[in-house]
Amino acid sequence: MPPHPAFGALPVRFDDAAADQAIAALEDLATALRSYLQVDGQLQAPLRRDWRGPARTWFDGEHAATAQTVQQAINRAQTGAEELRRAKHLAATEQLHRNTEAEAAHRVEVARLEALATPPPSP
Amino acid sequence: MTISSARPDYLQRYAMFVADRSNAARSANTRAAVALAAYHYSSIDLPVTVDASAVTDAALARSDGMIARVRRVAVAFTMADTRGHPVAVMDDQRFGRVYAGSPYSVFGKAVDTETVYEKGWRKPFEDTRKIGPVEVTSTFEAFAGAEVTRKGRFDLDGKGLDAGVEGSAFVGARLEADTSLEAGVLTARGHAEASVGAEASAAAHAKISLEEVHVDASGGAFVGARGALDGEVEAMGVGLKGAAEARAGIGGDFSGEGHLGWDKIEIEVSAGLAFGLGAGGSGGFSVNPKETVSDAMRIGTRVQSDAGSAAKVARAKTEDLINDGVDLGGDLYQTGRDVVDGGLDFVRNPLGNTTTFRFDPHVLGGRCNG
Repeated sequence: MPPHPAFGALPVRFDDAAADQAIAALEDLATALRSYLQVDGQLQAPLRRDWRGPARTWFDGEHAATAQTVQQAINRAQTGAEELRRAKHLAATEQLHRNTEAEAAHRVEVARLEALATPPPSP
Repeated sequence: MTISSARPDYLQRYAMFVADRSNAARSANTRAAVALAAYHYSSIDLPVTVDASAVTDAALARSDGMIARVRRVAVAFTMADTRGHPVAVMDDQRFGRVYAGSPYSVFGKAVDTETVYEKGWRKPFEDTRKIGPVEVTSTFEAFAGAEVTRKGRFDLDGKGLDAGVEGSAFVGARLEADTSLEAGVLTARGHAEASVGAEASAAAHAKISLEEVHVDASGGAFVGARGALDGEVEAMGVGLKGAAEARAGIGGDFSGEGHLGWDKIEIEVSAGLAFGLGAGGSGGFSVNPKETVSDAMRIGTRVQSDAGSAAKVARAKTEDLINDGVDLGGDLYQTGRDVVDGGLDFVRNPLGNTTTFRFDPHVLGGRCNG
């Protein structure tokens, strides 16, 4: 969760809860796709044992391509979830950075105002 | 068109379970897409590039196409093959259809025996007689001439191909009779065959699987006269069966077997030649205790209720059977003699006056194997 924006710091427009929900949804998607591959794998042996002929040849090719695409989708879902976690971290870092910058600017401004408020030394 | 095999139930089961998982993944993908849209709406400063939804959509669309096709294949197999036999499948990729049919139609080969050549005279006839309580039904077929028959079969399953073909040829005269006799608890069935002429038969069988190739072939030829009889009598669960054969003439037979496996190759061939007068026979005996007791109790009940008439009927049946048996035995003896005489004439002079074959009917003949 990103820190609260400091006084004068521009808040980072980032919804931590939305990111968490998206991460959970992508992990669920990866789990569902893994379950697809698991069931598919369990049924392959009995299916192929008694299946011969041109339809089987077609199936072998199509099945391999489909399984590969599903595996790609699993990888993309996992990558997406990782990216969102990184985004959460970046959002916090960015807010800290902005807060630091704002605090520094604030300190400079305070110093400037203090300098203005201080009466000049008498001759 | 190619021969295929499949278990339609396995295909359907696969399609059902995988479609179920695919639907679950589709729901998860929808939830992920909504969550990502919400993130992008609320987190403008940190956009992410996540294409998991698009790739999942593509994967599931491909899976849907595959499942639909598997279902079509399953339906095609089911429609074409209700007996669990393999089918011939034509896969039309362009229209996304799968056609399936019987492999027998592909090969144009009949499964049952078929006569491929026949020339001569054939007369089938039937006779039913009721002699008191005994009913005798007989079918006869007389044939004189030449015939060639064949029989083929084909079986392809997950284990491999199993195919066989048989053929036979006959030139001469033949009489076949099937008789069944029913007298209360007693039933008798018999088959008699007598022929004079030349006959040959051959059979070949092949079994091909991924592990091995097995082929065997056998056949035989015989010139002369032959008489064969086999029958079965059953009463009150007690059964008697027997077979007898008499032949006079010259014959030969062969058999061969080949076994080609990954670890061993075997080929075995044997051939034999027999000439002279031969006789063979076999017998069997069976008892069904449950049926015997049941029939005996039934008879016992009947005897109790009408002891007098049952005893008379039983005695009459027995006398009839004995008389019939004696008659049958006499006829059979005469038929056998006729057959042997005919065979002897045939063997002594099978090609008219041009060849003479020396034959001693008292010697059973010789056999050599090689």
